[in-house]
Amino acid sequence: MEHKNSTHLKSDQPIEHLLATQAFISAPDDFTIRVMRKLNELPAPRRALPPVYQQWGASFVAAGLLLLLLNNVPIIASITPFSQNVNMHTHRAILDLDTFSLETINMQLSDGFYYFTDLLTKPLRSLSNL
Amino acid sequence: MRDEELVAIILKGSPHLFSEIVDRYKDRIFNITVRFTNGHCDSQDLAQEIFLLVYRNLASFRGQSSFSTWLYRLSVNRCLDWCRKNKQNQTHVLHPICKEEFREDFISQIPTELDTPEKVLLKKEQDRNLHQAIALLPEKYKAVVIMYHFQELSYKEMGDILHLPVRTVETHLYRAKQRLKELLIQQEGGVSRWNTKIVRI
Repeated sequence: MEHKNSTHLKSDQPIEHLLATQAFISAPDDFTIRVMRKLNELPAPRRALPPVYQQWGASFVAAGLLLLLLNNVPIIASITPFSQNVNMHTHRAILDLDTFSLETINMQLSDGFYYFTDLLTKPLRSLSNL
Repeated sequence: MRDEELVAIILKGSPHLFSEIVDRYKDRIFNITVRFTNGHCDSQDLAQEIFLLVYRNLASFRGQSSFSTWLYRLSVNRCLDWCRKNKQNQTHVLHPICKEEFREDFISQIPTELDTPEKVLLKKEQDRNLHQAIALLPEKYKAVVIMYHFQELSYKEMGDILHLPVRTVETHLYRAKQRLKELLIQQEGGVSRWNTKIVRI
């Protein structure tokens, strides 16, 4: 049977032959010495921690910080009076116009900010007492 | 001792053992740089630079592939960078600033088992043309030709090095040879022994 597509290229053969007869070129004899001379000027390579260990390390630090925060209950507790204080006095100032005075608002807000400042400085004080 | 074991020892604090790695791979890496640079005198510096690069990045070798694959990948990428930077120089088989001895080394290492001086001369001429043609190949084709024919790597190994599927490597190699043939015909000024023969079965 005559196949129209039964032609194939045999043209690779001379190229293959030419490529196959190319010599392997060796490096100069003193190549290793020269490379090592240059390497001596560089710092020694060190194995970096694998990414898994790095992630574990970061997780431990994060967990430690979280535990520190959770164990320090007064810090958390102080958040509630602060927010209550601000909300309560803001609402009262708006709704109860009889009691509205800038002086009162200022005083009561400053109480709230006192709690906030206390909240921020407490961990530092705890650390310095350790 | 396996390469990977040797690398582990080097990283534990024995950098002098890197000379063992250099000894194992220097000829193969030098052969790659000579082919990629087309016998340019930079090939020796480039090979040295590759080993320095390997040394600096040794800690980043994770063992996900074999050390040789990782080393070849670094080498091929560095050689391709060189080709991009030196596009103009690649068509010259021998760079004018090369030392005469190096030029002779590059050519004389090509085997000359043929008898007559005419045949020897013809072979040298063919080899020169071949190297010029390889230098003119697109990067992706150049890499596969050099790795397959001068490093005798398998399709699988080449695929791992170039991050390509085996089928793509095969296609690149086939097209590379077609392109080489065209370039050799052009160099000889038209129809020649490289011309395509169509054989009916």
